Amino acid sequence: MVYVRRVQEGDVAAFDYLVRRYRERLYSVIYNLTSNREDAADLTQEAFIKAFRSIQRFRGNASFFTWLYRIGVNTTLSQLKKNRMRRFFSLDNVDEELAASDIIESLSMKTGTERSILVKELQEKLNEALQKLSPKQRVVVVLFEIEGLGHQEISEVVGCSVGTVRSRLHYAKQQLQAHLQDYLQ
Amino acid sequence: MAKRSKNEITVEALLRLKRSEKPPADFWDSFNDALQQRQLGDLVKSESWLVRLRRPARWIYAGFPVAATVLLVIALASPRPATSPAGESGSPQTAEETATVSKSDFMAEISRAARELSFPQSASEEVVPVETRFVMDAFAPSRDTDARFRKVMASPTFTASIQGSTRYVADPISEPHQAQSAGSRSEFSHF
Repeated sequence: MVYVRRVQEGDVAAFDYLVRRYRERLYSVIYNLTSNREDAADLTQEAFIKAFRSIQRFRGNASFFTWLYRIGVNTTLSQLKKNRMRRFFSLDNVDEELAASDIIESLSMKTGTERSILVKELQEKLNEALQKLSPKQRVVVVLFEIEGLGHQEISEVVGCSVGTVRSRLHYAKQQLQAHLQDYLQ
Repeated sequence: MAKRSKNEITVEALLRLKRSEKPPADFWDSFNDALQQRQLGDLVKSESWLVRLRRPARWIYAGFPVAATVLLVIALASPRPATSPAGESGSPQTAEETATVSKSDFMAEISRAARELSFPQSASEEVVPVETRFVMDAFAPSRDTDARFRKVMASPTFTASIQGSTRYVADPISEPHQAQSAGSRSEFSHF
């Protein structure tokens, strides 16, 4: 909040700090919503520019990253609505060290597929399944399952009730289960 | 709720794999460069808007000639009260129309106009303030037929070029073949 206040007082360098601090998380949300890293980069930059432009209106009622997430999510949803996104996947690399090795191991044994090939295949299938969800359901799934936000935080970001968040999450998971049936045990 | 075994693969577990998708290391360098350029562009754009907003007088100055032109066009396009004999009959007059008069009336009018016309001897050009009038459209002197006039929106100024002896100016509104058929006979414009 100190840095936010400094930006509000005209310290542009303080905004660079905020960008460095939140860029990866914001990019991750937008990337998982679009499944395209070029679109994600463009929209993340746009979200930061919007945040910089309207930072005087930030009153600190919510945390800064909730406010920033809201800008990022709304910017992305607006673009998805206009259907101006790229129509192909452009995926980031999977850090295999970070990937949950026991799941990959288990799947590799089950399907008899080589691990690296399996990782690539699974990555594409997951992105495909996410893109089959409605944008609103996708937002909830991404924020809850991938970003680890709570229901309350998601409701603040999305601007709906906690009940709506839970409901969207429930139906989204049902659809994902159907799409990813081949990998589930 | 039944407990899930440790090795059970769930949707949640698969989705968590997406946390390990990361952009390459050099991605953030180009990201920062692009962001800074966009921020600068945004600042310049918003500043130029502010500059424009702070200078309303320029908008007024720019808009004045346009507004003046529009008003002028409206004023010219609006119908004027008729000053000709045809106009006195009460029928609505347009910018250009024809009227038919008898030849005797026409000749009387010509004589009157000729008396009124006087050209300076020294000046080669003179501006004569006149109003909209009928001009002769066609005239056949050998036959006792009516003369045709065409009403025109005349310019408020009229330039007559006088070189040596008196010369009448051909009516540019008349049809070319009519002007040629007039031959040595003068094509006469009376304003």
